[in-house]
Amino acid sequence: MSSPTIIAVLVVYGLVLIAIGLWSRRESRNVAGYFVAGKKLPSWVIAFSTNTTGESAWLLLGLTGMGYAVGLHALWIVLGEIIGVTMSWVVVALPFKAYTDRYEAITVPDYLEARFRDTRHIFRLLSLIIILSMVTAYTAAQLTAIGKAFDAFLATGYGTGVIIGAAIILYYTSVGGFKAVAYSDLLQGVLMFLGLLVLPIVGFVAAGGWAAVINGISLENPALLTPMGELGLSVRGVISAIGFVGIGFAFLGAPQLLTRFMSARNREEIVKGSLIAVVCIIFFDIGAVFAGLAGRSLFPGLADPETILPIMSAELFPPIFTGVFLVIVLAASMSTVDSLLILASSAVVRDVIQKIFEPGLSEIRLSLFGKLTTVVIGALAFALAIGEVRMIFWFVLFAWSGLASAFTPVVLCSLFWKRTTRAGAIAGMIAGFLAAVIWVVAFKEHFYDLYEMIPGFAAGFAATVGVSLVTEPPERAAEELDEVRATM
Amino acid sequence: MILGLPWTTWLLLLAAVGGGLAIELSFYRRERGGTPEPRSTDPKEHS
Repeated sequence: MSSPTIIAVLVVYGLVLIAIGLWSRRESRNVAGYFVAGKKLPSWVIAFSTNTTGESAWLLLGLTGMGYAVGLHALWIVLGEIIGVTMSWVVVALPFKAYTDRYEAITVPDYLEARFRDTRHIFRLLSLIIILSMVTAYTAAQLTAIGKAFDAFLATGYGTGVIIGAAIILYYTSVGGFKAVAYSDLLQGVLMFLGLLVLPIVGFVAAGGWAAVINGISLENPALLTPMGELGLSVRGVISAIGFVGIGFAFLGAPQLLTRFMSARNREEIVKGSLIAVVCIIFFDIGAVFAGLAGRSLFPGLADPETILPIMSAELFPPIFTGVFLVIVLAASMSTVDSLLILASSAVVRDVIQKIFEPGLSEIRLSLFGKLTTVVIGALAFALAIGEVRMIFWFVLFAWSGLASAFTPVVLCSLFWKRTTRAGAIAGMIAGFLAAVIWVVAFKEHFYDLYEMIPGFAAGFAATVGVSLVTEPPERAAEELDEVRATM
Repeated sequence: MILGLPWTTWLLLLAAVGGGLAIELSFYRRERGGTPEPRSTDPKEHS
């Protein structure tokens, strides 16, 4: 492996990100500019930004590792993610955009507060607690991954890797705001797309073609080529498949993804973006699973299946492409971290400081607070990562599912069910979040490792519907929903 | 077996890719094929 070549690739990538931050800085001088890029983003940007925010380094290391370890049983994840992404654009995006434009909302708590006439700001405070706890831990874990990637590829030392990664992310995110985050996501998404397009093709060619890979794996373990994998048509196999499908349903309502729909220039851009996003996620997921499958044929017996992508990039490509694949892994982490930092910053500055405590503050001062909060939360995550605090990995277990379980059932009910009430939505948020967390802590291992988003969603929907049925919906909510539908 | 894979695997792959694309293309065609007239609230127009 040629370190100078890899360093050159990394330097170019870092400089491009910094340039995107500088290019976007003009738009980050007011609250709407800093948190949703002034709602002016085009289709390509929102489409790639949604997919790259939803997919962290897990896509490149985790899903390729799944393809390697469990074979085509991992296609259940592909099914869940493709259907989840499709339904989020086809079903959620347009009504959510119509509602949030009507309310002039720029955050999900903005929307929930207006939708449920929440004068006591309960949604804002509840969201703040959930978002801050999940985002800080998730960011710390991604920084840990970045530090380890730097150290593995360049022997920089773990701490130096975390410092370099955090410094670049914090720079372009705080300087350029959401516009820089979204456009850097586009760049990072294109890199991920190309990587996951090329890797399985090169892998299959290197292994001797389709027939050679399939025959080789069939001889080793034919169950790896079946939908139910080694678990077969057992209770554990079915629960595993359900959990895999469930992963993708977070795309329907995770707040960091809903923000992309709000930031679209108009509904036309959402319609165009939907096709781009769906085609992109198909290539992302199919590419990752089949790259892992080819990797199993080429490099059997790996102790850690999640190392298959770095191994394939180092063994099958010239050094410059090894550097590009390192950049792609970093890009996947960075595109998630920057979005989470902006989300957490908006929860503090927009939802609490501006809307509860200091509504009279100037736009420029609020955007400055937004930048400072981004840096402070990033610094906190950095401290957790650099100290390798073990607790964060415990939180990360349910960061993705916790955020999705808290928000998705409530957002879906609020968009499509006239009877949804404020009390119902509050109960749904609390129940969804707690159910996901409690499931991980107390029940998961006793129920065949059923993925926590399933009980999280079930509890969230049950509480929202149950409490809504015994309370009164907000005044004019039903008429408002009809008016929103009529504009679509 | 089709190309070395069980038909059930192809079915799962088809459900994922075909299902997603079919839903998406139907939505895309509907939305890009011309914005439908806003629904009238006048009951006479529905009679």
